[in-house]
Amino acid sequence: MSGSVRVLFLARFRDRFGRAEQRVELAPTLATVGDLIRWLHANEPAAREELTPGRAWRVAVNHALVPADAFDRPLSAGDEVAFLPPVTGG
Amino acid sequence: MGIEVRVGEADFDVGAEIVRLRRGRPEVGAVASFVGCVRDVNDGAAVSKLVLEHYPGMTEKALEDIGAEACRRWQVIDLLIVHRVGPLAPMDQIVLVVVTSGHRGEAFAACEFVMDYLKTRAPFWKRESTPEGERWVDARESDDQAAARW
Repeated sequence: MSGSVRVLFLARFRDRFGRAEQRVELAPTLATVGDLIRWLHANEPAAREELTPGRAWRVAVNHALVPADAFDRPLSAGDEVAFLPPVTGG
Repeated sequence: MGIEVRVGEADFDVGAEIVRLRRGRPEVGAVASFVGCVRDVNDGAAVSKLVLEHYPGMTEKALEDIGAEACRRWQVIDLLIVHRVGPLAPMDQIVLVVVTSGHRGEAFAACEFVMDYLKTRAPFWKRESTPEGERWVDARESDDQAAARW
């Protein structure tokens, strides 16, 4: 496992996490969507408050939503992973 | 059957869009449309302006997927979704859905389905300006319930 993914924090999450995006290096213990969420939980108070099961946030990999029961989806170098707060369009 | 999606800052003319979708389509017996607009009050606060942000690249795909799902469920002839982004003010139009079909039941249902799914699945976010400052609009639980009906 090598390479990095591009992680985006959209809309309100950009304010909460204090940045719009970052690069994250993949590793044997940082290889799936779930690993990335656990990694953020370990490093970010905002992640522990916002990225919890009770809240209507979503995560998308390469523009496709990943449902909560598929967080074991593997990440590949160059993937774009976006964290979306609850949507409010229309 | 055609699905057309447009995301951008430009306003739209619902009348002109309906005329365009009906042109050369004598099989259209029903046209259902929905227009969403910016209100001047939200959650008890006066709203002076609003900025609609989205996730470029994913937005169009999400809307096309919602349109395709509507066309799988109902007999749709054409389906148009227009969603505006950027700065908007009260009275402005935000979103347009037009569905043409042979009969009204299919057109009504598909149009309402698209709006209910769009409200919970399309990556748009509203940021309002109120007398207390700027704020991100909260998602509504009633929107999740509306989408779950389908």
